[in-house]
Amino acid sequence: MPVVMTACNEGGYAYEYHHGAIGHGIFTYALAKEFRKARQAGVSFNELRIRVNTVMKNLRYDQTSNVEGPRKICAGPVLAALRKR
Amino acid sequence: MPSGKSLYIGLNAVDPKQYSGWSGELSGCEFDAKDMRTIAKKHGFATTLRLTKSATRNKILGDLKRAAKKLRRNDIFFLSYSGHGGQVPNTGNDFEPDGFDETGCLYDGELIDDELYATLANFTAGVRIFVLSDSCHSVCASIEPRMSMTKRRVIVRDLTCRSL
Repeated sequence: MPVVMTACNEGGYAYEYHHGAIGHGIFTYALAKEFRKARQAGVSFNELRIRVNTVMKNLRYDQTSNVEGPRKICAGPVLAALRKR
Repeated sequence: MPSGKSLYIGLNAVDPKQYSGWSGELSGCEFDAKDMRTIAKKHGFATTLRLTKSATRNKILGDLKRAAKKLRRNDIFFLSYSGHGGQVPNTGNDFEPDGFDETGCLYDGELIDDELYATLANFTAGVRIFVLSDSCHSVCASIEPRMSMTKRRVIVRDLTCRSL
């Protein structure tokens, strides 16, 4: 069963975001930002989702991301799940 | 050592000929795909990038099938999609409470979630799969999705919504 992170809730919208001259999706922008910060910290998928939602909220976006997948993996560190073991 | 494969899809437009004249222009999807690829490369993933015109149904389904053949138990597959999301009436036997399947708008046509999951089901058991989707994955079910391509492209302030 895959872990799936989605940019918005069902019925919600995913928006674009311009940071300087560069266009992003606000979700990918927030995710990449928080993922780079969290690299060493052992952040879980669930925690990453919360951080991403905080970034979007602080930028005044009405958008809430979601994570779905096996509960244990979602509660565990992202890097461990993605690491080549 | 297990291997990691990844596929990054980013569409800043679709082929208007396949979408009743709608070109679905967005500005950040190609950058999103490249950015995710940069992150994954640092973690040693083999990467495939499919931007706008090269993000066709055949190419993406081919990429997925090739990855499914190659990866073994404990390997990792990472898929990211940035582009428009849409809906079509549910055609599978699965239960969709709203009666609609979600889709990703690839360059030459939509890829239905059932098609994606059927392809992912071909991966060997134990392959770890991580999917990121930066698109709207649901629009109002009361609106006929095929009729609403331009109407649903909501502009809020200077923000373009990634929806049909």
